[in-house]
Amino acid sequence: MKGKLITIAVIATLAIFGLTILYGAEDNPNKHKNGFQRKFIANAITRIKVAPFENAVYQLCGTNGGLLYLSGQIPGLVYVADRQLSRIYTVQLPLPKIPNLAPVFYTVVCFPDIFILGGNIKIIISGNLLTKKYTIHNLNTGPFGNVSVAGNNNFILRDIDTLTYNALFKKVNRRGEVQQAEKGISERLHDFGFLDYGKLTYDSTTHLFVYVSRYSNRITCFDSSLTVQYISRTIDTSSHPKINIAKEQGSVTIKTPPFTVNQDACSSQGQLFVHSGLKADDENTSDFNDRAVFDVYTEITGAYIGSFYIPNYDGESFKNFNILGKNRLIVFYDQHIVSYDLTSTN
Amino acid sequence: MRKETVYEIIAIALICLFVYTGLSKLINFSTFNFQLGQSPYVNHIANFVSWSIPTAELITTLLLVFKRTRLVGFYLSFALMFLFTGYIYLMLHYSYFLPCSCGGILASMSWKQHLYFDAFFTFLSLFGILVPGPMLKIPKTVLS
Repeated sequence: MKGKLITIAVIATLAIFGLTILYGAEDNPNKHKNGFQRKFIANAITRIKVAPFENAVYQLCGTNGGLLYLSGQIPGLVYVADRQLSRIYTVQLPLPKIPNLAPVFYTVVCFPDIFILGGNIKIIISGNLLTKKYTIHNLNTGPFGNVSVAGNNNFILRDIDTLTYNALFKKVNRRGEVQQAEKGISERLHDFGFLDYGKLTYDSTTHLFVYVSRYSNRITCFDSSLTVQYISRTIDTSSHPKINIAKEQGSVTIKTPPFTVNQDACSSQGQLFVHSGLKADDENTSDFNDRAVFDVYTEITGAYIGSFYIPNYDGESFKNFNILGKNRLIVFYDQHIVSYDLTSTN
Repeated sequence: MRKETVYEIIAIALICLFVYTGLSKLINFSTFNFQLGQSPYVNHIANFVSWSIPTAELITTLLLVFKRTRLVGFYLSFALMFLFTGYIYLMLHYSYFLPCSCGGILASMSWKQHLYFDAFFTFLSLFGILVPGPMLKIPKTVLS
């Protein structure tokens, strides 16, 4: 038995040694200096409410008065919560099973209207949550992502041209008709939208759209006529995307591990909040690893205002976030929704 | 349940696991190789790892099949499963990019489920090493 235990210990030690070498060889940009610094504008963000939520909720898909509408993995199923997150119930548009609608679908609730846009199957479902009636229209686009509401029941989406593989912003109406195509917002990269993949966010107070690139520090602001207002940069120095793609038989996939510069973004009341993936040179590694860092920018010009941290919640991973008004941050974790007060960042 | 039966069940479970995962990696070799290329920890040695892992799994299977070599098979199985468990722990907690997990039926598992799955088989291998197996009858002529 002693011999066996010694052999087990030797094997475990060698395995840990091997894993340590692998860890050391990882080319993680956050192990090195990234050439920028952050200015922290708040020391502690107040947590207001934690709501347990075992169902996988992905995102906020609309607000109405004191209510929040949240969407999850099932098309047509909407979770309704009050702003205090004290009461959550569901409403459902009784859709038939539509093949391949999930998982790439986007829900927009302008109560009582609901719109579900299928990015892979190129349809738009316009429904009413009170009457439970709906109609389905085909979209005259390629596969698309990054849907945002553009007022008057129009939507802005990032369409992949199936001939050139370029990703372009287009405006479509609720019947799926393309109203307008962009004027010089996106670079023609023939990449199925991978290289400049990002997050599109809309601020209903400024009527501006902001597109924050995921793999580079590019910020593109445009208006509802799809005209560029400005192109700016986040505070880091990653101006070129560190991502390799493989094109094969009409499809594109990520070839090597890409480095995420900007994880997520949301704009509200003239401010742009970016959840960054890069550690600044003046940041403590454990501070950065144990929290999510947000950089705040002026939406009108893209100028940097400052940064703040949100701590991880009980070991759960951070999924995405939304800003309500000027001072309320809603964070979606694996099994909880947590709201924070941002007054101290102003 | 007799110790010998437990010993056999553990060996059969590990043989099934390694035959399935080893063969599915070889059958879907290009996919496996591509997925390893997306891993921040092994992307620079993806070609080497994509051959060596299924080879090691199939060698372990062979060692587990024969009673004379089964203990060595359990040691190798423990080494592989310990490495896999540690690798998934690293990916889950420290990796800056989490690609798809792997091919075959295990693809339906999340990374977290995969961690528990691999940890279970690591303990099973450990159990196989520590539980005394059936005594082998060695001919007297060999001893004399």
